[in-house]
Amino acid sequence: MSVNEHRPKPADLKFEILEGATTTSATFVFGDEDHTLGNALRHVLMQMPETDFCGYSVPHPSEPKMNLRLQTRDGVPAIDVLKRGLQDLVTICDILDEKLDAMGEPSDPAAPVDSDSMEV
Amino acid sequence: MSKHIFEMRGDAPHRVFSAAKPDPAERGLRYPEKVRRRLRMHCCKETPEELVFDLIGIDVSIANALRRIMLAEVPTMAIETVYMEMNTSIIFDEVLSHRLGLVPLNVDPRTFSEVETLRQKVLKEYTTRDGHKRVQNEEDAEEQETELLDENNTVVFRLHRRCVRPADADPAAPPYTEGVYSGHFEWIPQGTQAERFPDGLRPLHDDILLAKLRAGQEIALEMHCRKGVGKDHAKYSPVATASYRLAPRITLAQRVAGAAARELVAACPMNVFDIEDGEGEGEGGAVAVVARPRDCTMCRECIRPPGWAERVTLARESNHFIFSVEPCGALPARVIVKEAVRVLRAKAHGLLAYFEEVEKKRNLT
Amino acid sequence: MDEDGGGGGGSSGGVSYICGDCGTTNEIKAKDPIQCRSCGYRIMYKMRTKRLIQFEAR
Repeated sequence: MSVNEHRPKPADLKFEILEGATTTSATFVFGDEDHTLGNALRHVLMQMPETDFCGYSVPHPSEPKMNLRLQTRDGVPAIDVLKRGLQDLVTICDILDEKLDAMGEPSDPAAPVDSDSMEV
Repeated sequence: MSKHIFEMRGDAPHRVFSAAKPDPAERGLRYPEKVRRRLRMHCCKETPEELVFDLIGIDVSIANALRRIMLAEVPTMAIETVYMEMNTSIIFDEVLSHRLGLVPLNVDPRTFSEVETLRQKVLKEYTTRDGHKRVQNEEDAEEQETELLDENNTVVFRLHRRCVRPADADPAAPPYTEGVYSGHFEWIPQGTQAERFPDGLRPLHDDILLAKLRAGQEIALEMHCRKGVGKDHAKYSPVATASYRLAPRITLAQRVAGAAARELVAACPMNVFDIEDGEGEGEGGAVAVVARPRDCTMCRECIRPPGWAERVTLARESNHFIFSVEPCGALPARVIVKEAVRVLRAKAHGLLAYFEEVEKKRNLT
Repeated sequence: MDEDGGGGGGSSGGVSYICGDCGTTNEIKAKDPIQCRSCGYRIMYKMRTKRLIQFEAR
Protein backbone atom coordinates (compact mmCIF):
# COMPACT_ATOMS: atom_id res chain seq x y z
CA MET A 1 0.00 0.00 0.00
CA SER A 2 2.81 2.33 0.81
CA VAL A 3 6.31 2.85 -0.48
CA ASN A 4 7.52 2.44 3.05
CA GLU A 5 6.10 -1.02 3.43
CA HIS A 6 9.30 -2.65 4.61
CA ARG A 7 9.73 -2.03 8.28
CA PRO A 8 12.61 -3.49 10.23
CA LYS A 9 11.47 -6.01 12.81
CA PRO A 10 12.38 -5.36 16.40
CA ALA A 11 15.26 -7.46 17.66
CA ASP A 12 14.49 -10.91 19.01
CA LEU A 13 16.54 -10.46 22.14
CA LYS A 14 17.18 -7.33 24.14
CA PHE A 15 20.46 -8.67 25.50
CA GLU A 16 22.67 -11.67 24.88
CA ILE A 17 26.21 -12.83 25.66
CA LEU A 18 27.92 -14.19 22.59
CA GLU A 19 29.26 -17.72 22.69
CA GLY A 20 32.88 -18.20 23.76
CA ALA A 21 32.81 -15.66 26.55
CA THR A 22 34.96 -16.07 29.63
CA THR A 23 34.48 -14.29 32.93
CA THR A 24 36.79 -11.46 32.06
CA SER A 25 36.22 -11.13 28.34
CA ALA A 26 32.87 -11.21 26.64
CA THR A 27 30.99 -9.83 23.67
CA PHE A 28 27.57 -8.53 24.60
CA VAL A 29 24.86 -8.19 21.98
CA PHE A 30 22.32 -5.41 22.54
CA GLY A 31 19.08 -5.67 20.58
CA ASP A 32 17.49 -2.49 19.13
CA GLU A 33 20.52 -0.39 19.99
CA ASP A 34 22.97 1.41 17.72
CA HIS A 35 25.81 3.95 17.85
CA THR A 36 23.75 6.13 20.19
CA LEU A 37 24.16 3.81 23.16
CA GLY A 38 27.14 1.93 21.72
CA ASN A 39 29.62 4.76 21.58
CA ALA A 40 28.45 6.43 24.80
CA LEU A 41 28.65 3.16 26.74
CA ARG A 42 32.01 2.30 25.20
CA HIS A 43 33.34 5.65 26.29
CA VAL A 44 32.08 5.28 29.86
CA LEU A 45 33.47 1.74 30.13
CA MET A 46 36.85 2.89 28.89
CA GLN A 47 37.08 5.32 31.81
CA MET A 48 36.87 2.48 34.32
CA PRO A 49 40.15 1.30 35.83
CA GLU A 50 39.00 -2.34 35.57
CA THR A 51 38.66 -2.13 31.79
CA ASP A 52 41.46 -3.55 29.72
CA PHE A 53 39.78 -3.25 26.34
CA CYS A 54 36.41 -2.05 25.16
CA GLY A 55 35.06 -1.60 21.66
CA TYR A 56 31.72 -1.67 19.95
CA SER A 57 30.38 -2.33 16.47
CA VAL A 58 27.15 -2.38 14.57
CA PRO A 59 27.67 -5.45 12.34
CA HIS A 60 25.08 -4.50 9.75
CA PRO A 61 22.80 -1.44 9.60
CA SER A 62 19.76 -3.52 8.61
CA GLU A 63 20.07 -5.68 11.70
CA PRO A 64 18.90 -3.98 14.91
CA LYS A 65 21.95 -5.11 16.86
CA MET A 66 24.99 -3.63 18.53
CA ASN A 67 27.98 -5.67 19.72
CA LEU A 68 30.12 -4.55 22.62
CA ARG A 69 33.39 -6.28 23.43
CA LEU A 70 34.65 -5.88 26.98
CA GLN A 71 37.87 -7.31 28.45
CA THR A 72 38.69 -6.69 32.08
CA ARG A 73 41.78 -6.73 34.30
CA ASP A 74 42.55 -8.61 37.52
CA GLY A 75 39.80 -11.19 37.14
CA VAL A 76 36.95 -8.72 37.60
CA PRO A 77 33.89 -10.21 35.86
CA ALA A 78 33.12 -8.36 32.64
CA ILE A 79 29.39 -8.40 33.33
CA ASP A 80 29.93 -6.57 36.64
CA VAL A 81 31.96 -3.90 34.90
CA LEU A 82 29.22 -3.56 32.28
CA LYS A 83 26.61 -3.10 35.02
CA ARG A 84 28.73 -0.47 36.74
CA GLY A 85 29.27 1.24 33.39
CA LEU A 86 25.53 1.41 32.82
CA GLN A 87 25.08 2.85 36.30
CA ASP A 88 27.73 5.46 35.54
CA LEU A 89 25.89 6.37 32.36
CA VAL A 90 22.68 6.79 34.38
CA THR A 91 24.57 9.05 36.81
CA ILE A 92 25.95 11.13 33.94
CA CYS A 93 22.41 11.54 32.62
CA ASP A 94 21.31 12.69 36.08
CA ILE A 95 24.13 15.25 36.09
CA LEU A 96 23.15 16.45 32.62
CA ASP A 97 19.57 16.78 33.84
CA GLU A 98 20.62 18.84 36.86
CA LYS A 99 22.78 21.18 34.80
CA LEU A 100 20.04 21.51 32.22
CA ASP A 101 17.55 22.56 34.90
CA ALA A 102 20.09 25.05 36.22
CA MET A 103 20.75 26.51 32.76
CA GLY A 104 19.52 30.08 32.97
CA GLU A 105 18.08 32.57 30.54
CA PRO A 106 20.06 33.30 27.38
CA SER A 107 23.07 35.55 27.81
CA ASP A 108 26.30 36.22 25.98
CA PRO A 109 28.69 33.30 26.05
CA ALA A 110 31.05 33.53 28.98
CA ALA A 111 34.48 34.92 28.34
CA PRO A 112 36.75 32.31 26.81
CA VAL A 113 37.46 29.75 29.49
CA ASP A 114 41.01 29.44 30.63
CA SER A 115 40.97 25.95 29.29
CA ASP A 116 44.21 24.83 30.88
CA SER A 117 42.70 25.14 34.32
CA MET A 118 39.51 23.47 33.06
CA GLU A 119 41.24 20.32 32.01
CA VAL A 120 38.89 17.66 30.71
CA MET B 1 39.71 11.64 28.62
CA SER B 2 42.19 14.30 27.77
CA LYS B 3 41.10 17.44 26.09
CA HIS B 4 42.72 18.31 22.87
CA ILE B 5 42.69 21.16 20.48
CA PHE B 6 42.18 20.81 16.75
CA GLU B 7 44.39 23.32 15.04
CA MET B 8 43.52 24.37 11.53
CA ARG B 9 46.79 24.90 9.74
CA GLY B 10 47.45 25.68 6.13
CA ASP B 11 47.62 22.06 5.04
CA ALA B 12 45.14 20.24 7.25
CA PRO B 13 43.65 20.10 10.75
CA HIS B 14 46.14 18.91 13.37
CA ARG B 15 45.34 17.40 16.73
CA VAL B 16 47.22 18.97 19.60
CA PHE B 17 47.00 17.47 23.09
CA SER B 18 46.93 20.05 25.80
CA ALA B 19 49.70 19.31 28.24
CA ALA B 20 47.98 20.44 31.42
CA LYS B 21 48.57 18.73 34.74
CA PRO B 22 45.75 16.55 36.04
CA ASP B 23 43.57 18.31 38.58
CA PRO B 24 44.67 17.05 42.02
CA ALA B 25 41.12 17.48 43.32
CA GLU B 26 40.00 14.84 40.87
CA ARG B 27 42.38 12.18 42.08
CA GLY B 28 40.58 9.00 43.08
CA LEU B 29 37.20 10.23 41.90
CA ARG B 30 35.01 7.94 39.84
CA TYR B 31 34.36 9.07 36.29
CA PRO B 32 30.80 10.41 36.81
CA GLU B 33 32.07 12.55 39.68
CA LYS B 34 34.75 13.96 37.40
CA VAL B 35 32.02 14.75 34.88
CA ARG B 36 30.03 16.51 37.61
CA ARG B 37 33.04 18.74 38.33
CA ARG B 38 33.75 19.51 34.69
CA LEU B 39 30.35 19.80 33.06
CA ARG B 40 28.96 23.26 32.42
CA MET B 41 26.01 24.41 30.40
CA HIS B 42 25.27 27.88 29.19
CA CYS B 43 22.31 29.17 27.23
CA CYS B 44 23.35 31.53 24.42
CA LYS B 45 20.13 32.13 22.53
CA GLU B 46 16.56 31.06 23.02
CA THR B 47 13.68 31.86 20.68
CA PRO B 48 10.64 29.74 19.79
CA GLU B 49 12.54 28.69 16.66
CA GLU B 50 15.96 27.96 18.04
CA LEU B 51 17.86 27.14 21.21
CA VAL B 52 21.63 27.59 21.20
CA PHE B 53 23.55 26.40 24.23
CA ASP B 54 27.09 25.50 25.20
CA LEU B 55 27.82 22.07 26.56
CA ILE B 56 31.29 22.16 28.05
CA GLY B 57 33.37 19.43 29.60
CA ILE B 58 31.85 16.26 28.20
CA ASP B 59 33.03 13.70 25.68
CA VAL B 60 31.82 13.70 22.07
CA SER B 61 30.26 10.27 22.49
CA ILE B 62 27.75 11.64 25.00
CA ALA B 63 27.15 14.85 23.04
CA ASN B 64 26.62 12.83 19.88
CA ALA B 65 24.27 10.43 21.67
CA LEU B 66 22.15 13.41 22.70
CA ARG B 67 22.13 14.77 19.17
CA ARG B 68 21.17 11.41 17.68
CA ILE B 69 18.42 10.91 20.26
CA MET B 70 16.96 14.36 19.62
CA LEU B 71 16.76 13.62 15.91
CA ALA B 72 15.56 10.05 15.99
CA GLU B 73 14.41 8.85 19.39
CA VAL B 74 12.49 11.55 21.22
CA PRO B 75 8.87 10.55 20.69
CA THR B 76 6.16 12.85 19.32
CA MET B 77 2.59 12.41 18.10
CA ALA B 78 1.75 12.27 14.39
CA ILE B 79 -0.96 10.98 12.11
CA GLU B 80 -0.30 7.33 11.34
CA THR B 81 -3.48 5.98 9.72
CA VAL B 82 -5.97 7.65 7.43
CA TYR B 83 -9.43 6.18 6.81
CA MET B 84 -10.57 7.64 3.52
CA GLU B 85 -14.34 7.82 3.16
CA MET B 86 -14.46 10.09 0.16
CA ASN B 87 -11.90 11.87 -1.92
CA THR B 88 -13.03 13.23 -5.26
CA SER B 89 -10.33 15.89 -5.36
CA ILE B 90 -7.54 15.64 -7.89
CA ILE B 91 -4.96 14.70 -5.25
CA PHE B 92 -4.56 10.92 -4.92
CA ASP B 93 -5.55 9.15 -1.70
CA GLU B 94 -1.98 7.98 -1.10
CA VAL B 95 -0.47 11.40 -1.66
CA LEU B 96 -3.09 13.10 0.52
CA SER B 97 -2.44 10.56 3.30
CA HIS B 98 1.26 11.22 3.06
CA ARG B 99 0.71 14.97 3.30
CA LEU B 100 -1.60 14.54 6.28
CA GLY B 101 1.03 12.45 8.04
CA LEU B 102 3.54 15.30 7.88
CA VAL B 103 1.25 17.83 9.60
CA PRO B 104 2.77 18.76 12.98
CA LEU B 105 0.30 18.39 15.83
CA ASN B 106 0.05 20.49 18.95
CA VAL B 107 -0.29 17.42 21.14
CA ASP B 108 2.11 16.86 24.03
CA PRO B 109 3.48 13.34 23.51
CA ARG B 110 4.21 13.04 27.22
CA THR B 111 0.48 12.81 27.92
CA PHE B 112 0.13 9.73 25.72
CA SER B 113 1.57 6.24 25.82
CA GLU B 114 3.00 4.18 23.02
CA VAL B 115 0.87 1.71 21.04
CA GLU B 116 1.62 -1.85 22.05
CA THR B 117 0.93 -5.04 20.20
CA LEU B 118 -0.29 -8.07 22.07
CA ARG B 119 3.11 -9.66 21.48
CA GLN B 120 4.97 -6.75 23.04
CA LYS B 121 2.66 -6.84 26.03
CA VAL B 122 3.38 -10.52 26.59
CA LEU B 123 7.12 -9.96 26.05
CA LYS B 124 7.15 -7.22 28.65
CA GLU B 125 5.79 -9.63 31.23
CA TYR B 126 8.44 -12.20 30.40
CA THR B 127 11.61 -10.28 29.83
CA THR B 128 13.84 -13.33 29.71
CA ARG B 129 14.62 -15.79 26.98
CA ASP B 130 11.75 -18.09 28.09
CA GLY B 131 9.34 -15.24 27.51
CA HIS B 132 10.63 -14.80 24.01
CA LYS B 133 10.27 -18.52 23.26
CA ARG B 134 6.82 -18.47 24.75
CA VAL B 135 5.75 -15.80 22.32
CA GLN B 136 7.43 -17.54 19.40
CA ASN B 137 5.61 -20.73 20.17
CA GLU B 138 2.23 -19.06 20.27
CA GLU B 139 0.31 -20.26 17.26
CA ASP B 140 -1.76 -17.30 16.27
CA ALA B 141 0.92 -14.99 14.96
CA GLU B 142 -1.59 -12.61 13.46
CA GLU B 143 -3.42 -12.15 16.71
CA GLN B 144 -0.13 -11.35 18.39
CA GLU B 145 0.35 -8.40 16.09
CA THR B 146 -3.02 -6.91 17.08
CA GLU B 147 -2.47 -3.36 18.21
CA LEU B 148 -4.03 -2.45 21.51
CA LEU B 149 -5.53 0.97 20.79
CA ASP B 150 -7.27 3.04 23.43
CA GLU B 151 -7.82 6.65 24.50
CA ASN B 152 -4.38 6.76 26.10
CA ASN B 153 -2.47 6.14 22.89
CA THR B 154 -4.67 7.41 20.07
CA VAL B 155 -5.94 10.83 19.01
CA VAL B 156 -8.63 11.00 16.34
CA PHE B 157 -9.23 13.87 13.94
CA ARG B 158 -11.83 14.17 11.20
CA LEU B 159 -11.60 16.18 8.04
CA HIS B 160 -14.70 16.80 5.96
CA ARG B 161 -14.80 19.46 3.27
CA ARG B 162 -17.16 19.81 0.38
CA CYS B 163 -16.75 22.57 -2.13
CA VAL B 164 -19.99 24.30 -3.14
CA ARG B 165 -19.99 27.12 -5.66
CA PRO B 166 -21.72 30.17 -4.17
CA ALA B 167 -25.00 30.99 -5.92
CA ASP B 168 -23.81 34.52 -6.70
CA ALA B 169 -20.53 33.40 -8.28
CA ASP B 170 -19.58 35.25 -11.42
CA PRO B 171 -19.95 32.82 -14.35
CA ALA B 172 -17.13 34.61 -16.19
CA ALA B 173 -14.73 34.22 -13.26
CA PRO B 174 -12.18 31.41 -13.23
CA PRO B 175 -13.56 28.09 -11.88
CA TYR B 176 -14.46 28.31 -8.21
CA THR B 177 -11.76 26.72 -5.98
CA GLU B 178 -11.44 26.20 -2.24
CA GLY B 179 -8.39 25.12 -0.25
CA VAL B 180 -8.43 22.43 2.40
CA TYR B 181 -6.27 23.50 5.33
CA SER B 182 -4.96 21.87 8.48
CA GLY B 183 -7.22 24.29 10.39
CA HIS B 184 -10.18 22.30 9.10
CA PHE B 185 -9.24 19.30 11.26
CA GLU B 186 -11.94 18.47 13.77
CA TRP B 187 -10.86 16.72 16.95
CA ILE B 188 -12.97 13.72 17.97
CA PRO B 189 -12.32 13.16 21.70
CA GLN B 190 -12.13 9.53 22.74
CA GLY B 191 -13.24 8.35 26.19
CA THR B 192 -12.16 10.84 28.83
CA GLN B 193 -10.01 12.89 26.44
CA ALA B 194 -12.56 15.73 26.46
CA GLU B 195 -11.99 16.20 30.21
CA ARG B 196 -8.23 15.67 29.97
CA PHE B 197 -7.82 18.27 27.24
CA PRO B 198 -10.41 20.99 27.93
CA ASP B 199 -8.74 23.30 25.40
CA GLY B 200 -8.99 20.72 22.66
CA LEU B 201 -6.30 19.23 20.45
CA ARG B 202 -5.35 20.64 17.07
CA PRO B 203 -2.56 20.90 14.54
CA LEU B 204 0.28 23.26 15.39
CA HIS B 205 -0.47 25.48 12.39
CA ASP B 206 -3.89 26.17 10.90
CA ASP B 207 -2.65 27.38 7.51
CA ILE B 208 -1.08 24.29 5.95
CA LEU B 209 -2.62 23.74 2.52
CA LEU B 210 -3.41 20.05 2.06
CA ALA B 211 -5.53 19.93 -1.10
CA LYS B 212 -7.62 22.12 -3.38
CA LEU B 213 -11.24 21.45 -4.28
CA ARG B 214 -13.27 22.50 -7.30
CA ALA B 215 -17.06 22.90 -7.01
CA GLY B 216 -18.68 19.53 -6.33
CA GLN B 217 -15.51 17.84 -5.05
CA GLU B 218 -15.34 16.43 -1.56
CA ILE B 219 -12.86 15.10 0.95
CA ALA B 220 -14.07 13.11 3.95
CA LEU B 221 -11.69 11.14 6.12
CA GLU B 222 -10.71 10.16 9.63
CA MET B 223 -7.15 10.26 10.97
CA HIS B 224 -5.68 8.29 13.85
CA CYS B 225 -2.56 9.70 15.50
CA ARG B 226 -0.11 7.85 17.65
CA LYS B 227 3.21 8.21 19.36
CA GLY B 228 6.33 7.34 17.41
CA VAL B 229 10.01 8.12 17.00
CA GLY B 230 11.99 9.76 14.23
CA LYS B 231 13.93 6.63 13.32
CA ASP B 232 10.63 5.07 12.26
CA HIS B 233 9.53 8.05 10.14
CA ALA B 234 10.77 11.64 9.89
CA LYS B 235 7.28 12.98 10.69
CA TYR B 236 7.87 11.86 14.30
CA SER B 237 11.09 13.84 14.67
CA PRO B 238 10.58 16.67 17.21
CA VAL B 239 13.25 18.86 15.62
CA ALA B 240 13.82 20.43 12.25
CA THR B 241 17.45 19.97 13.05
CA ALA B 242 19.67 19.41 16.07
CA SER B 243 23.38 19.83 15.62
CA TYR B 244 26.55 20.77 17.42
CA ARG B 245 29.86 22.26 16.44
CA LEU B 246 33.09 22.59 18.36
CA ALA B 247 33.77 26.05 19.75
CA PRO B 248 36.44 27.92 17.81
CA ARG B 249 39.46 29.12 19.76
CA ILE B 250 41.39 31.82 17.98
CA THR B 251 44.55 33.24 19.43
CA LEU B 252 47.02 35.81 18.27
CA ALA B 253 50.49 34.49 18.98
CA GLN B 254 52.01 37.93 18.78
CA ARG B 255 50.89 41.54 18.86
CA VAL B 256 49.30 42.52 15.55
CA ALA B 257 49.19 46.28 15.19
CA GLY B 258 48.96 49.09 12.74
CA ALA B 259 48.76 48.22 9.05
CA ALA B 260 48.99 44.51 9.86
CA ALA B 261 45.93 44.79 12.12
CA ARG B 262 43.97 46.47 9.36
CA GLU B 263 45.09 43.77 6.94
CA LEU B 264 43.89 41.06 9.35
CA VAL B 265 40.48 42.68 9.88
CA ALA B 266 40.03 43.04 6.13
CA ALA B 267 41.09 39.45 5.42
CA CYS B 268 38.39 37.85 7.56
CA PRO B 269 35.09 37.42 5.66
CA MET B 270 33.24 36.65 8.92
CA ASN B 271 34.47 39.81 10.63
CA VAL B 272 35.98 37.96 13.59
CA PHE B 273 38.62 40.55 14.39
CA ASP B 274 38.36 44.11 15.67
CA ILE B 275 40.85 46.89 16.14
CA GLU B 276 41.27 48.35 19.60
CA ASP B 277 43.41 51.12 20.97
CA GLY B 278 46.40 49.56 22.64
CA GLU B 279 49.55 50.96 24.12
CA GLY B 280 51.71 53.07 21.92
CA GLU B 281 51.25 56.10 19.75
CA GLY B 282 49.46 56.60 16.44
CA GLU B 283 49.32 53.81 13.88
CA GLY B 284 51.23 51.31 16.02
CA GLY B 285 48.78 51.81 18.89
CA ALA B 286 45.86 50.20 17.07
CA VAL B 287 46.01 46.47 17.82
CA ALA B 288 43.94 43.61 16.43
CA VAL B 289 41.82 41.62 18.91
CA VAL B 290 39.72 38.48 18.51
CA ALA B 291 36.27 39.97 19.07
CA ARG B 292 33.86 37.36 17.75
CA PRO B 293 35.59 33.94 17.72
CA ARG B 294 32.23 32.11 17.46
CA ASP B 295 31.62 33.58 14.02
CA CYS B 296 34.76 31.91 12.65
CA THR B 297 34.08 29.28 10.00
CA MET B 298 37.71 28.08 9.87
CA CYS B 299 38.00 29.29 6.30
CA ARG B 300 41.72 29.95 6.96
CA GLU B 301 41.64 33.07 4.84
CA CYS B 302 43.51 34.93 7.60
CA ILE B 303 46.45 32.47 7.65
CA ARG B 304 46.77 32.11 3.88
CA PRO B 305 49.15 35.01 3.13
CA PRO B 306 52.78 34.11 3.88
CA GLY B 307 53.83 34.78 7.44
CA TRP B 308 50.34 34.91 8.94
CA ALA B 309 50.18 31.26 10.09
CA GLU B 310 52.78 32.10 12.73
CA ARG B 311 50.76 35.02 14.04
CA VAL B 312 47.21 33.60 14.12
CA THR B 313 46.21 30.21 15.52
CA LEU B 314 42.84 28.83 14.44
CA ALA B 315 41.66 25.96 16.58
CA ARG B 316 38.64 24.15 17.95
CA GLU B 317 38.18 22.77 21.44
CA SER B 318 37.32 19.09 21.58
CA ASN B 319 35.15 19.33 24.70
CA HIS B 320 33.24 22.52 24.06
CA PHE B 321 30.10 21.94 22.04
CA ILE B 322 27.84 24.64 20.71
CA PHE B 323 24.50 22.92 20.32
CA SER B 324 21.74 24.28 18.13
CA VAL B 325 18.26 22.78 18.46
CA GLU B 326 15.45 23.92 16.20
CA PRO B 327 12.16 22.52 17.42
CA CYS B 328 9.27 22.10 14.97
CA GLY B 329 6.47 20.53 16.92
CA ALA B 330 4.58 20.59 20.17
CA LEU B 331 7.70 20.38 22.33
CA PRO B 332 9.87 23.44 23.08
CA ALA B 333 13.62 23.02 22.53
CA ARG B 334 14.51 22.80 26.22
CA VAL B 335 12.01 20.03 26.72
CA ILE B 336 13.43 18.16 23.73
CA VAL B 337 16.93 18.26 25.24
CA LYS B 338 15.55 17.13 28.59
CA GLU B 339 13.63 14.33 26.90
CA ALA B 340 16.79 13.28 25.06
CA VAL B 341 18.60 12.91 28.39
CA ARG B 342 15.64 10.93 29.71
CA VAL B 343 15.72 8.58 26.70
CA LEU B 344 19.47 7.98 27.11
CA ARG B 345 18.98 7.28 30.80
CA ALA B 346 16.08 4.95 30.01
CA LYS B 347 18.30 2.94 27.65
CA ALA B 348 20.82 2.26 30.42
CA HIS B 349 18.12 1.86 33.04
CA GLY B 350 16.20 -0.64 30.93
CA LEU B 351 19.25 -2.90 30.70
CA LEU B 352 19.94 -2.63 34.43
CA ALA B 353 16.32 -3.56 35.15
CA TYR B 354 16.71 -6.52 32.83
CA PHE B 355 19.83 -7.73 34.69
CA GLU B 356 17.98 -7.41 37.98
CA GLU B 357 15.11 -9.47 36.59
CA VAL B 358 17.49 -12.21 35.45
CA GLU B 359 19.19 -12.17 38.84
CA LYS B 360 15.85 -12.54 40.59
CA LYS B 361 14.90 -15.49 38.38
CA ARG B 362 18.23 -17.17 39.05
CA ASN B 363 17.80 -16.85 42.81
CA LEU B 364 14.38 -18.45 42.63
CA THR B 365 15.57 -21.60 40.89
CA MET C 1 -21.38 -5.70 -9.64
CA ASP C 2 -22.77 -3.08 -7.36
CA GLU C 3 -21.73 -4.85 -4.21
CA ASP C 4 -19.00 -2.40 -3.31
CA GLY C 5 -21.50 0.42 -3.47
CA GLY C 6 -19.22 2.11 -5.95
CA GLY C 7 -21.45 1.98 -8.96
CA GLY C 8 -24.07 4.08 -7.30
CA GLY C 9 -26.55 2.35 -9.53
CA GLY C 10 -30.26 3.02 -9.41
CA SER C 11 -33.05 0.61 -8.71
CA SER C 12 -33.15 -0.61 -12.31
CA GLY C 13 -29.86 -2.53 -12.10
CA GLY C 14 -27.79 -0.02 -14.02
CA VAL C 15 -24.45 1.45 -12.96
CA SER C 16 -23.76 5.16 -12.65
CA TYR C 17 -20.90 6.70 -14.62
CA ILE C 18 -19.59 10.22 -14.85
CA CYS C 19 -19.19 11.81 -18.25
CA GLY C 20 -15.59 12.72 -19.05
CA ASP C 21 -16.65 15.92 -20.79
CA CYS C 22 -19.65 17.51 -19.11
CA GLY C 23 -19.48 15.71 -15.77
CA THR C 24 -23.12 14.66 -15.53
CA THR C 25 -23.99 11.34 -13.93
CA ASN C 26 -25.40 8.75 -16.35
CA GLU C 27 -26.96 5.46 -15.43
CA ILE C 28 -25.94 2.85 -17.97
CA LYS C 29 -27.50 -0.61 -18.10
CA ALA C 30 -26.12 -3.68 -19.77
CA LYS C 31 -26.27 -3.41 -23.58
CA ASP C 32 -26.84 0.38 -23.39
CA PRO C 33 -24.48 2.40 -25.59
CA ILE C 34 -21.54 3.82 -23.63
CA GLN C 35 -22.30 7.45 -24.27
CA CYS C 36 -23.34 10.49 -22.28
CA ARG C 37 -27.03 11.17 -22.60
CA SER C 38 -26.66 14.93 -22.37
CA CYS C 39 -23.60 15.65 -24.52
CA GLY C 40 -22.87 12.46 -26.44
CA TYR C 41 -19.29 12.10 -25.18
CA ARG C 42 -18.06 8.50 -25.18
CA ILE C 43 -15.48 8.52 -22.40
CA MET C 44 -17.18 7.63 -19.11
CA TYR C 45 -15.65 7.32 -15.67
CA LYS C 46 -16.54 4.95 -12.87
CA MET C 47 -17.75 6.40 -9.59
CA ARG C 48 -15.45 6.24 -6.59
CA THR C 49 -16.17 3.46 -4.14
CA LYS C 50 -18.16 4.41 -1.05
CA ARG C 51 -16.17 1.91 0.98
CA LEU C 52 -13.80 3.03 3.65
CA ILE C 53 -10.16 2.66 2.55
CA GLN C 54 -7.31 2.59 5.01
CA PHE C 55 -4.02 4.29 4.23
CA GLU C 56 -0.77 4.67 6.08
CA ALA C 57 0.21 8.29 6.41
CA ARG C 58 3.79 7.61 5.29
